[in-house]
Amino acid sequence: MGRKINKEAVIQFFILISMACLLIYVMLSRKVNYYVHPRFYIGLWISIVILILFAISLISKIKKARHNVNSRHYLIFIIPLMAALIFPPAGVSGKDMNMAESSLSASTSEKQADENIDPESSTETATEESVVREDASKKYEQYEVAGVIVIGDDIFSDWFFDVYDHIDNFVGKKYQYLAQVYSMKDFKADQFLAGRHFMVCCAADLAGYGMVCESDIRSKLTDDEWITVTGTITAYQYNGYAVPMLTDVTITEAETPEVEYIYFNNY
Amino acid sequence: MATYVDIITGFLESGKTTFIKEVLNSREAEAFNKIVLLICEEGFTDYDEELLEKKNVKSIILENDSDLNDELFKQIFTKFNPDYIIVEYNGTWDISKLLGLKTPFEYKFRNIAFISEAGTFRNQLNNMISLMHPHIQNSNLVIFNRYKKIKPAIQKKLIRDIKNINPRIQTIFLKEFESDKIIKERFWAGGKQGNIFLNLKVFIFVALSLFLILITNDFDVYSAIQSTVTVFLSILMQATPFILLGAFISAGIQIFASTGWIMNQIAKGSWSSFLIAAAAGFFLPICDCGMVPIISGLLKKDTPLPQTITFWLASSAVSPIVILAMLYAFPEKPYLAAIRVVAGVVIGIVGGIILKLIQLENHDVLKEHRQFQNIGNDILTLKYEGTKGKIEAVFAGAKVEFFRVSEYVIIGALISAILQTILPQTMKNFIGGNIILQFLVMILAAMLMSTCSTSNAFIGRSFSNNFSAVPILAFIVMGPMLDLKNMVMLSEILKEGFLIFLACLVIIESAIVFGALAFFL
Repeated sequence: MGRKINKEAVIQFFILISMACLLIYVMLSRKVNYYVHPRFYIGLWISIVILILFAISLISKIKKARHNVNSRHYLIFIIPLMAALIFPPAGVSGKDMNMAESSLSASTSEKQADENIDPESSTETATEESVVREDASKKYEQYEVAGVIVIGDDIFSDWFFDVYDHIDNFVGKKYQYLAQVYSMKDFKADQFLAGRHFMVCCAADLAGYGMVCESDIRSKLTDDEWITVTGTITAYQYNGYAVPMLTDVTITEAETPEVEYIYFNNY
Repeated sequence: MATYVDIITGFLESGKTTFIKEVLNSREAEAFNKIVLLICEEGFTDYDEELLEKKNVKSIILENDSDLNDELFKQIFTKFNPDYIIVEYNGTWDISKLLGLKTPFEYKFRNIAFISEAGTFRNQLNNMISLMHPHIQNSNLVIFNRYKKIKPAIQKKLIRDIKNINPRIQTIFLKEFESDKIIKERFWAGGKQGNIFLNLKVFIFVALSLFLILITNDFDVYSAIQSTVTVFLSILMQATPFILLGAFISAGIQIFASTGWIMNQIAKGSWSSFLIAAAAGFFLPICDCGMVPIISGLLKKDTPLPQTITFWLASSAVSPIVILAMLYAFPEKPYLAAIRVVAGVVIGIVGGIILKLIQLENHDVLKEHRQFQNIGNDILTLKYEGTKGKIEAVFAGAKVEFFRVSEYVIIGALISAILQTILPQTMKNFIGGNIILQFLVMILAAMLMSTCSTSNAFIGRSFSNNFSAVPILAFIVMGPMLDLKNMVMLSEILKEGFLIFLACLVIIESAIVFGALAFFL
């Protein structure tokens, strides 16, 4: 003796449970770092709870027998579920070079635009102006270790854009940070870009940002290799604009960090 | 060999008995040795004993739905062991009660046919939707009787009513005493209900193509697909919390008829309501993909179209999160945030007013078959009453909404993920000083890049090497309005033609607004 059940409820139940399981797995394994900005974590945990509650509410409906269920349109859910299972998250590698390249010129041309529009005003917001006027590099001095200021991932984005915006304050100071090696078409043979990928919201907006480095061992470095770079900042003329460059560079190999991206902490 | 169970359901006097008699009299029925006729109807029945005797039909009459218990089919099996069972079911009883009964393994429910008089159907559906909906939803055949006086236009509407309850149902208009054809197709001894094979085919196709991709050793192709998948999943993941939130708000709007003052104002349809509609987005600070279910919820609630569209277009410009994002993305130009708000509001209000002036009404642009759909099975069968029941309904409604919206989000995210992997390279070719060309490229990017309204300010900023401020602003403002993913999601409720019209309207308005801006800035 058998009993007919509600096939639709069963399908929905499995979709919800597998979505929740995948999300839990992604969250716990920290793979979520590759997909979205940490500010989504709370939202994703809440989503997991809701998905599971949805699934629980379906259990009582499974018994309500259904005939002629239109289950075909649930097929579409196979795509993300299969995709998540088959393809592990990866750096959006196809974009790397372009992004790194454009980011450099982006920052430079922005600077140019600022100067054109309003040469008087500081390039920072009004609220931060008083701090900025003093010396933009001062707030990073507390991270100094044995004569080198170590820039961790949490302050990297602030520091990076401060350097671009106020090169004068930073020239001559020695910094160390974890970076990836990016190539640029119009660089000299001993130059490369030491930078990181920045995430604003999700993997769709990953963009590489970096600083020009000059080093004798350039030829030994491979693209996307992880390094710890230490160097002194100087101003460098690139396409007619002053951009920061690291000179007197020491490079040590580094392991791929657990969290590969820098997350903007803008709001 | 399976023993088929066919169910003929419908209200009294709908023609069930006539139809069953024809089935029993048909040549197809001659293949059966022993038939059980289960009659679930109070009072008399007019099957003549002679026919039943001749065809070796044993009839069982159930007068009460409490007689539907797990013993029923067991007894039929042991007492009669028939090779065919046909049920005349009571249209007022719960159909899932019959379907959920324990049956011997070889018993298969095959056809469920809902029979109705064509003339009274729509009226009945409106008055007794909660009673009829489950019967029709579970049917694979709806048969309309006595349809001669019904105009062809109404016949089409009937078909659409049925399709919207379950698109897999076959609708048949039955000329009297002409049921041979259906019986031949659907009620013969070896007949089946099919359809599983197509699902399998699609599944095998998907699995096979994935397998082929995996065994391809072409690294470039693999890594391109991998990064596309990463982008695809990341768009889905960041959208999930917003979709859920939107689904709950949307279900809330549908259940608690008019939530609050703002919705009332929008619903009023007066001229000042455009301003309120434009400002309302400030109080619903969620991302644009969460907005789509709210829009469909409003339209299903018959909120006037022009105001709803104003609300939709302006919502992503006035959201406090978006304003904050603008200030952070362009710290050196805070006035851009103000311009974005104003531009969004102006485009929204002007768009709404134009819609009002050309007198577009909801029923012109809504896909009609979507109107019943909010009365899903989940909302109809509630355990609780009162406030508790309403909360349950919101929860159930949100689930329905979630599944419905997710389908479109998946398609939209997939398209934009694929385009994003292709687009950045192509985009670079457009570097140039031509502002009109830049504007066109930005429109294209706004449509295809599917960036969240809360983050597209930052993406716009990353264009600033190749584009000047005004086209970037155009990209940021139009992004959520023209976003392909949102359009696909909206096409679930709005007609495609209207969406194309709306997109053109937005583009023309933006051209004027940003043209003026380019002149002044």
